[in-house]
Amino acid sequence: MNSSGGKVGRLAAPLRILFNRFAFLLMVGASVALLGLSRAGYKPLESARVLVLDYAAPVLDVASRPIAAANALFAEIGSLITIYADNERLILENERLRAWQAQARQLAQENAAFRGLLRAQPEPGMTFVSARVVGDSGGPFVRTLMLNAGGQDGVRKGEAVVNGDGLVGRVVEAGRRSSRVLLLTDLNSRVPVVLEQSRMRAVLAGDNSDALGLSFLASPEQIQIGDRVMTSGHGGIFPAGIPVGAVSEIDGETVRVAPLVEFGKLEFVRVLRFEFPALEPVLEPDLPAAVGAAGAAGG
Amino acid sequence: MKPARLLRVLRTLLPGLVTLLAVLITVLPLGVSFAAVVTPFLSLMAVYYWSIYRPDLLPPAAVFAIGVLQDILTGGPVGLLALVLLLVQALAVSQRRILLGQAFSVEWAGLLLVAAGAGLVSWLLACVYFLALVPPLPFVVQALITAALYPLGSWLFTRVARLTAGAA
Repeated sequence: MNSSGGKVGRLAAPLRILFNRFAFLLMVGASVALLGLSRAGYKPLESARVLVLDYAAPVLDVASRPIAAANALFAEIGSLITIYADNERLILENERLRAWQAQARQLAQENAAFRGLLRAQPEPGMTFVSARVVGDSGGPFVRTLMLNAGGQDGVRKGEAVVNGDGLVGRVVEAGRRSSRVLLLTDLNSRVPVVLEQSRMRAVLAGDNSDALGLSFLASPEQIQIGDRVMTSGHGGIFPAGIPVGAVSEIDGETVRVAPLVEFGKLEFVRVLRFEFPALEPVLEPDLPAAVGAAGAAGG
Repeated sequence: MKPARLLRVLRTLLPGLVTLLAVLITVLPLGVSFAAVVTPFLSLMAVYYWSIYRPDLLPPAAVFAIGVLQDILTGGPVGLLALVLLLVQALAVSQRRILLGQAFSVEWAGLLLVAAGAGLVSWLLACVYFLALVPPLPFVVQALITAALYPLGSWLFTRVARLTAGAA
């Protein structure tokens, strides 16, 4: 046993090197194969991704809580320092907002009356699911977030994600108890938007940096710095009218938009459950076809 | 399994676990604005370190699995970081005889080169994968941040490496 042990030992070293080299090449091959499958959108791979996400999310959820608590503590200390200035600012803001509230009430009534006169289609109903951000991609390739809410909470692929400031992105993967959000700033993010002042339509595209680019503008010369940008609702992915950002830079044809959301500091977000009206079955068979056609042409 | 043996098995797993931890830290939301733009490539640091000091405890299969996990958790192309980390490992293992026993500055300079190379390769792969010119600046920033944090990482890994001293 002892004598053969020495022999095996002498043989083992080159064999081990050979095995390691083989294992390395095998693993490189596997990586390349995975890249190809991922690129091709191979369904079982996507399901596996969602499964891994579902198992990792609770772990990240627990691990991220102390960090969130520490951040909350720092924020609290920070707000203690500025408490007087904040109070003064808020009193002034409250006064301004009261005036706006009166105006908004009046407009809402007026709007409802006009809608009644026009027999306009009611806006689709919207509900939301609140979720905590448990993961942040952080790499130079993609801009995504991981949420601790998934299919069992009502989150579906394609839904819009917002916070108090504005649009965050949309759900691209939804597992059972977790989901992934593609941020506005991601290279692959495209959002149909409209400029508040000129009502001009455009597409907002991310490029992995903090600013967003506006493209497909009919007449870029009409735009001014500070113009507000919101979702247009075209394409049926996002509900219309969610604030997105403001024009921050104009350089000839290139228009940059600064998003309203601070992507690095997101802690809680809302996933909007938005039912696009065109995808709903028509429940009124008595409606004359001509009226339906006229309504569609008008809308 | 005897406690002593269990302890030894745990010790052999330490480099893999540390690298896994590096991946988890990367995806945790830190609530810091700049961290959302670029985070250091912590798993690259770990793979580089263990490839030099204990290559026997971090086999290619482990590097592959950890890379795939990072790809999935960050939502990027699956296989991309796995491939990059395997290349980092191959490069570091091939140069470990030169790097071992040198001053820390040599090891550090080696990491800077490896991080820069990894940045270039991953940028090229990302451009091919997305069929688009991916902005290269975040890759440069990431390589620099990774290199800047390596002394701290190396110090921590050395503490862990002492625990693996008895591992086969």
